[in-house]
This record gives sequence, C-alpha cells and structure tokens, in this order.
Amino acid sequence: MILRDALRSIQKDFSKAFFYWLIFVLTTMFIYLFFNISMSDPTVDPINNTGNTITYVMIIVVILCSVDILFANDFYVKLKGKDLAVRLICGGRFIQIASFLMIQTMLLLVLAIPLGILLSYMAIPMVNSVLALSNHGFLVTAHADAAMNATIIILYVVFWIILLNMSFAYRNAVGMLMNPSGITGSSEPMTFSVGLIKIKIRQTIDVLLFLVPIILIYFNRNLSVICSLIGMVGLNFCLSNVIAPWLSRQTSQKMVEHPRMVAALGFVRRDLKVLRNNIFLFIACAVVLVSMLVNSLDNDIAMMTILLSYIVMTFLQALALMFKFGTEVSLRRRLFMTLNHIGFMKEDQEIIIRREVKYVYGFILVITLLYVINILLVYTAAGDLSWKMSLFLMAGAVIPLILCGFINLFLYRRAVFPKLKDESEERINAE
Amino acid sequence: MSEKVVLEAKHLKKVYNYHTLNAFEALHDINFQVFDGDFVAIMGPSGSGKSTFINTISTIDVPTEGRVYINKKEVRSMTENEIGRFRYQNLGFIFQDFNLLDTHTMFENIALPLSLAHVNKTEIEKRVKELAEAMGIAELLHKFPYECSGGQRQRVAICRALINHPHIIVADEPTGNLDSANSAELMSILQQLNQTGVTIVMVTHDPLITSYSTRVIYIKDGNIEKELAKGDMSQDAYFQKIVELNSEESRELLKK
Repeated sequence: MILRDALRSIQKDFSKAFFYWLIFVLTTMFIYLFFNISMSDPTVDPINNTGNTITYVMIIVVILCSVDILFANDFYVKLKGKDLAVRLICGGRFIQIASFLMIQTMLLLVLAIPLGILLSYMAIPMVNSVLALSNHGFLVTAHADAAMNATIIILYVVFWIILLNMSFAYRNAVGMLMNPSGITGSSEPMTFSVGLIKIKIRQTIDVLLFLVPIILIYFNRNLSVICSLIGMVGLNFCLSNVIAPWLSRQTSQKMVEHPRMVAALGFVRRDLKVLRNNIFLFIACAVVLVSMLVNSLDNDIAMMTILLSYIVMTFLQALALMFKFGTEVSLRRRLFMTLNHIGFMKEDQEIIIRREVKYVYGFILVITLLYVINILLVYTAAGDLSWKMSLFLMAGAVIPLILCGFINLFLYRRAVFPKLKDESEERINAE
Repeated sequence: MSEKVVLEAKHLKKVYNYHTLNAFEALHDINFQVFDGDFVAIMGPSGSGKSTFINTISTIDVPTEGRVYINKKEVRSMTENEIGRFRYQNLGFIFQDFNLLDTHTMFENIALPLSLAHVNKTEIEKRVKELAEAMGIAELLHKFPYECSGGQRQRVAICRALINHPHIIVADEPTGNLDSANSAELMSILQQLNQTGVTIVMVTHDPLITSYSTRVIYIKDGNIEKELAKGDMSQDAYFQKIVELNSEESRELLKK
C-alpha cells in the first residue's frame, strides 16, 4: 500500500523526482570516476595519505556531493508537504510517514546507483583519450577499491538522508505542512543612528574581506588557495549583510519609479535569499578548485583529478541551483496573476521574468569570474598557464551556468504563463 | 448615486472548457448595470457563479458570449495593453486572500500601481506614507506580508487598491479572512469611500456585510434571481430583508 502510494507520488511529481534522481546518478558517477582516477596512480592513496592535494580535493568533492544530495532531498521532501499532511489527517503514524518518504528516496537511489556506476565505467575510455592528448603517459583503470570507497561514501550520504527524512517526518505538524514557511528573518528599516554606522562599518569589513584577497593573489600567487578561502568567507558575509540590504534599497527607493524593476528586483531579492546556499556553494566550489588547480600544475595526476572535479562539480552545482530555482519559480504563477490584476501586461511580465533570471545568473557569474579571472590572469601572466587553458577553465564555470539559466527561463515561463495563454485563447474563441 | 452607467454587462455568458466534452456554463445570458457611485453587493450560494461574474465584469476573465462595457467602452475591443492600463488607472481590486506579493515589502506592494502610472519617486513616497498613515499601517511599510496579521494585510491590500484613486473598487469576499472587528472596520472604510463617490462592486455571502451596500443582486445557478435596493431603509431593516431573501432561496432548495 505504502509502496504503491510512493510510486504514485513519484509519478505525480515526475519532473522533480527526475532532477532528484539525476543528482544521485551524477554524484555516484563522479565519485566512482574520481576514485578510479586517483587510484590509477600507485603513489596516490587519498584515503590513508592525508598530506597530498588529492586528499584535500577528495574531501571538498565528497562534502559538496553530500551537500548537493542533502539539498535535493530536502527540497523533494518539502514538496511532499501536502501529501504528508493528508496522511497525517487520515491518521498516519510517524513510521508510515517516514516509510512513505524513505521508499521514494530509496527507489530513486536504487535506480540511480547502477546507472551512475555504468556511466562512470563508460566514461573511463573518454577520460583516457583526453589524457592521451596531454601526453602524460598516464591511464585510468577501473579499481575494486574505488568501487568500495565510493559505495562507503554513498552509504554515508544515504545514512544522513535517512536521518533527515526521519526528523522531517517526526517534527512536522499538519498546519506546517499545509502552509510551508515563507522567508523568515527581520526586515527592520535602517535609521540614522549609531546602528547605521555600525552596519556601514560591518558592510565595509565584509566587502574588504571579499575583495582584498584578490589583490593579495597578485603579490604572492602561491597564496591563491588561502586567499580564495578567505574571500569566500567574505562572500558569505556579503551575501547577507551587503547584497540583500542593497537590493532592498534599490527596490524601495532608487528604482521605485520603474515598475518592472521594482517587480524584478523584489523577486531577485527573494531568489538570493532562497538560493543563498547554492549560490555560495557554486562560487566557492569554482573558485577554490581553480585556485587548487593552478597550484598543482607541476603534478599531472593531481591536476587532472582537480580539473575533472572542477568541471563535474561546477556542472553538478549549477544543476542543483537550477533545481532549486525551478522549484521556487514553479510557485510564482499566483504572484504573476496578482501583477496582472494590478495592471502589468503580459509583455511586462515577460520582461520581469527575463530580468530576474538574467540578474540572478548574472550575479553568480560576475562574482565567480571576479575571482577566477584574477587567479587565472596571475598564473597566465607568469607563464605557468596557457591562455587556452585559462579560457577553458573560465568556460567550465560559464557554460553550465548559462545552460541552466536558459533552462530556468524556459521552466519559469512555462510555470507562469499557461493560464494567461488559456485566457487569450478564450478571448480569441469569444471573438 | 448618479444615473451614469459605469459598468454594464449585456447577454453575458461564460462557459468553462468551451468546445470540450466537459463544457460547463457558469453564467447564462446575464444583463446587469452598475451606476456611478453605486455600492452593489453580489450574493448567492457556493458555486452559483458570483466570482465568475465579478471576474468577468472586471476584466480579470473574458466572457464566452455577450459584452462588458466599462465607461461605455467595450472590454473585448481593448487590446491587452489597454486593459492593463485601464486596470491601474480605473480599477482597484480587493480579494479574500489579499493577493499581496509575498516577495515585496508592504511599501513596494502599495507603490506598484503608482509606479505603473509613472508617478515620480517623491510623490510615490509621499502618497504611500500618507495613505498608510490614514489606514494605521505606517509602521508596517518595511515589513513583508508574511510578517503581518490578516487584518494588517487586508489594510495593505486596500491601500494598494486605493492608491491610484480608482473610480471602481472590485472586492471578492473582502472580509472572508478577517475577524468580526476587522470586517466591520473594513466595511466602514468601504462605506466612507462610497460616500466620496467611489463605485463598489462586492461579492459576499454574509448578509451583515451585504447590509453596508446600497443594492444587492442574488445569483443562483448562473442567473440573477433577485434584486433588492436599500432605498430609504435603515441598515437594520435592509439587513432583515437580505436575511429574508437568503432564507427564501434556501427554503426553495429544501422544497426540491
């Protein structure tokens, strides 16, 4: 009975279940491939040897993969709020609710893992052909230990998913499930007082923490990894303390004469709040991996592993971002109906959607490139890195973001406009 | 109330799922007029077509057949852009569930119609603050709708509906999510507005709320069944008549 319900639930939210499943497939595929590459060099032992670059990369990659899966799971589970509420009203017990969620996750996981492994085996010849081009004399082979390590990591993630789902099923009441929480947090206005001065000082420190490391890289390029890490701490603070208040000022004051901008910036402000963790992860992942890569140019195996990690992780993070953005905008239809009632025409609404997507993805792109370009510039100018390689690395961050931006734009328009389209069809019929 | 017709529906018909096997006729050949300064309440049982009717006469929905005229201009002859412009210049909407943008602050929600009407920044700020002050929500302007109570949100929705000084206010169950104190306050605000010449068309199922109007039409199964004008009656006597009207209709259902 629960199994049948779980299958129906997957079928009902097929597109969301598909993205969730895709994250599982890609994560499994990447973790297997990552271990196969790192274990193809007998001098590397990422599990036991804690001193080498690959170990650090492995830690970053595993953490990012786990976080991606946990985010995807969290969103998938939250989307099931109404289903769970109905079950609770009908007398469903904790164990039934938990089973309903767990069966869905496990079904997707069971379908994803074999495909992920298969795809990673199929990708090995492709990776070898890329390696052959670089003439490093190094070949990737499939390893039993790699399969074991990757399985342990995936089981570890699954363990966390089980805990997450159990706690979700335990702590949720019908009311909360029926009315999913909006954005919380204070929105107190800034007044001209000592508080404002403190805020300004804090904002200046946050901006400096983000920007100064870029300058430091020019003084000593070997510090690029540490500078990137410090910069990402600054970015984390800037997202909450600088960007959000700046957007509020633009929406309420400076742009208030421009209706499309007021609407679009209000939506962007909400997006940045909802997508904050994903945005941070994307930027941090791209910046830290690029800085690690340029520091490992003298070590072929480390460089190849980091390069692969960089490409796959930017793609995976962009996908997770797109998934969360897509979920957020799928609930916007009602807001656009309200805009329509106020007097925004369809043309205005189209422009608002385009601007919102452009601003969100543009922001991520600009912040990412601000660090990546400077790091690459320092190494390219010093002759350590070719221009082609620099452009390739930049494309590694830009292409997934642009692709996901276009997909989000398509999904957004599809979520918002069906009703309006019906209305115009009815209008045509009536005429 | 003058004799000038501001809103008129002629042979109005609305069919959902038109040209399909599931076609359902929600409104049948309705003729209806609203005069300048009118306060019309639309009553009827659930599923009678009240909301379809109000949506169709207020440009939110399109009639399948028939014509809707606002200030003598036929709505279907307007382009989508003209309808949009017409909405923010002439119409103010108030809904049961407030229809505020959760992504925007109260200030931004109220300012949007002014922004659409190309009012300048200083004037927007001045007008929003003045109206918010008058409605007792000045201290909430920087908050988001989800941070406020239902009564506060409805006041903001009213501010947004009134900020452009519309000629017609369309309200769909405006007190549906409010307690009795907030409902009474909202109705007295609407009544005051009506006394200043604003035309109000309101859907409600509550006889007490209806008693604030000057005219009531009763819709049943997509037809206008009865009409009742307040005339010289006191609000109490008018309320009694409305209750009787509702009871009669309910008793007819029992006979079936």
